[in-house]
Amino acid sequence: MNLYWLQSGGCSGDSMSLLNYEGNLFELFENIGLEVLWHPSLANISPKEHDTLLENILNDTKELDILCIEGNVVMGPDGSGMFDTFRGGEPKYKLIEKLSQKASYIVAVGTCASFGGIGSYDEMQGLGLGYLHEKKGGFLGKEFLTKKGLPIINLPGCPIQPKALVTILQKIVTDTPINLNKNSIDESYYNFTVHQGCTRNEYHEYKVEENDFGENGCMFFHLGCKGPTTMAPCNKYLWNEVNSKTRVGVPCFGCTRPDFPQQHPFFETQNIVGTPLELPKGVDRAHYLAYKDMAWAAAPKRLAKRKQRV
Amino acid sequence: MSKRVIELNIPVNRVEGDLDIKVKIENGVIVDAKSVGTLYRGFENILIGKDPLDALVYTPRVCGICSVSHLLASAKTLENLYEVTPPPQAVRLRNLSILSETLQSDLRQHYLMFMVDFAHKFYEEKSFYTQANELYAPFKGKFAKSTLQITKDVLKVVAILGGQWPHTSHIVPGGVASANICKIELFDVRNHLLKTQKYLEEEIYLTSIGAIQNLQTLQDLEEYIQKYPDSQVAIFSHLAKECKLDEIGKTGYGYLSYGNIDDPQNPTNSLIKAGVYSDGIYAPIEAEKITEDVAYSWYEKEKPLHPSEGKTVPKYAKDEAYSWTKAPRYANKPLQTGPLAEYMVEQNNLFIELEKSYGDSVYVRQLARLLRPAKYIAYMLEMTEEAVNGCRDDVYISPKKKKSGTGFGLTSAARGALGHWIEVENGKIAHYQIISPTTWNGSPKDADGNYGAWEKALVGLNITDTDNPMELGHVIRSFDPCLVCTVHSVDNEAVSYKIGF
Ligand code: SF4
Repeated sequence: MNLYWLQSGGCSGDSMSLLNYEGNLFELFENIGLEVLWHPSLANISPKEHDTLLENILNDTKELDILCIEGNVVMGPDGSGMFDTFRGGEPKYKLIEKLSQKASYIVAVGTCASFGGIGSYDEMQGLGLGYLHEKKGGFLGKEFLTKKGLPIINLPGCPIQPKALVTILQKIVTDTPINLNKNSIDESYYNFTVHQGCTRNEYHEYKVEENDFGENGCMFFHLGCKGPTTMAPCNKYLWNEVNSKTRVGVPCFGCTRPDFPQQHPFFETQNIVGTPLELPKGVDRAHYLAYKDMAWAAAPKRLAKRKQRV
Repeated sequence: MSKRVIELNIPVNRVEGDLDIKVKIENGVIVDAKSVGTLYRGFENILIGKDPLDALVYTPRVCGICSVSHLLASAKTLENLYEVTPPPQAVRLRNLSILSETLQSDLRQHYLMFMVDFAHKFYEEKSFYTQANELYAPFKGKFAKSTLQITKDVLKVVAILGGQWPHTSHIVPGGVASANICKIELFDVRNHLLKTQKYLEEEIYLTSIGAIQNLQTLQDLEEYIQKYPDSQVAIFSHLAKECKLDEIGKTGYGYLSYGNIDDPQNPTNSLIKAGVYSDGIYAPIEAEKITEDVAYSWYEKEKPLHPSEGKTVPKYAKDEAYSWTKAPRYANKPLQTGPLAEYMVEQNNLFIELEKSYGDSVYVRQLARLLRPAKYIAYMLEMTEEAVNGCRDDVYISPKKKKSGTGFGLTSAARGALGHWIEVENGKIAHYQIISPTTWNGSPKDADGNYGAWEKALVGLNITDTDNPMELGHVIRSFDPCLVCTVHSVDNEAVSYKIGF
């Protein structure tokens, strides 16, 4: 199978993250028989060869299997798309539109491509390929299916974890069924909260909370941590194989959520009478309040005194 | 003889597909060049009205390639605003984070972006072609593979200290948020760094880091190249000279560096010094001399303004304009920035001699990038030892947050000088301005008609094959282009667009 990678309104963080894949990425591509036709950082073909390749894909002389898009589809200013042009000419979205008709599989790599992400609330007018935030439609429209009749596969994350993409590519190449949830996200990879596996869990249990950076505690009540409401395995499949933000004391910013980036301050938890406005999914507020008060009363000294350096 | 004039539009980026170079070629020679930033992301406008700390989350996302650098610049900007000085141990951990990012970027740029060109069939006829393929071919070349592996190790340092790479936010005004970095973590850091040092010594330089650091004259360098003909420095030098890269890509422009590696005891000072080096003269930075010119950028005309005042209203298809990049100038002059600028500003004798002999050519500019990891790894190992000793010390001082005021922060990303400017009103961001290294190097012309650095480097260049303008690629890549980071703000009220060509 082959793959064409297009960057649009993004920071190339997903490409950079992909290079951190724990195994040997290049060998993996070879082993699973995946040919990278074009990736701006990895391919080495001349502009002319690249033009020919694009032309051949667009006029159907070259079959395109997988289209990966990184970054959102830029519609600004005022719907013209001229904030992101292809070679300083046509808006990039035109190319995205045309290529989308040609690929058997489309993978939206990262939150920007999936849901709009950075720039989706602003004049850049960034759209996800198939969604804008939680709303289906995005750039390609509600009804869009690929040439093979498949929905777009969303792999959110700002940036994406390399394993998420590598897993999907392997599933595609080996024709393994992919279960997509209501946001068209690969369910098996994003089936945990960031909170699961965080080393601060015991602090969380007893409501020993941080008010400021570096205090040794959980960051849910005051520092804005979105771990309990964000689906991503950051604390299961660790970043760069070694760590996660919440483990070192940086709150989860909810970067896989369709509404990312949140429109209220990142380092502050929105509260109602001292309890986070947004509670872990499915939790009843009254019970939660009662539980948290008791938890605090039951906190062992080693935690209450923040003796445990997490 | 009739003139053959060709106009070419060439996408040249390897990191982001948002850089085009437009050149006019007469009889095989470039007579005019335009550096076109084709993507506008509007970060500075996104930040308006946000909580100041949100800059720590947004600005790393300006660029996935140098996200720690933006993080550090934004934290320093807020420290300048809140008048707080981070404790020494925090400064050490920050230095380790940013140097790791820069070191991996230098290696990846050299092998995954620059050297691959020699393995292109453009050079089929050359005697080096087979060897270049074995070493540098994309996906398969020995160094394409080993660079990928070793840089992952380097980046683990950022992940250990900050949670992940890219896009973490562990550097905060007042220090770092990661309070529990002690021996266990720092020993891991040291192990990754020692592994990196071993790679540099055994695979790249074939001699010790110290020996590379001691290359102080052109003669030292030549002797080293002779003694270690299989070293990457020697191979690169041969390839470069055979392809005449020591003759092309010159700008004659001065150099800008904001310094690097903050002094733990006095973090507004850097161990690698900041400054401007121009016509053989060093001068310290005077930040008020920095302005941004929009004569050839797609923004409403205004006179060149300091970034703390610069107000920019996008105006697409403005006469003469051709880029979303603005043109930063220092005392009204264009400058270049990056690893070579860092060496020139610290007045490293080897590079002063190199520049005398070969100018700021592609060869010299890229050599700076190839030698710099030796300098950094030495600092990093030292910094790690200091951090081990200080690992129980404070790493955070809670700043007293001001409701209004201004601040700025200057630092160095892998590609050079990076500056952020902020203004806060009623506790919210009222103004934010970023000038990234690529904005300096890849800027369009200014009102006085001065080219940006890489435009200047292209004019006069011979192009052998207009279908595959390899020489142009070498020149641009020696600047390590990264256009994602040319971010500019738009004033929402007064937008006027004329769309289309
Ligand atoms: S810091 Fe965040 S992820 Fe960790 S335990 Fe607390 S809420 Fe969960």
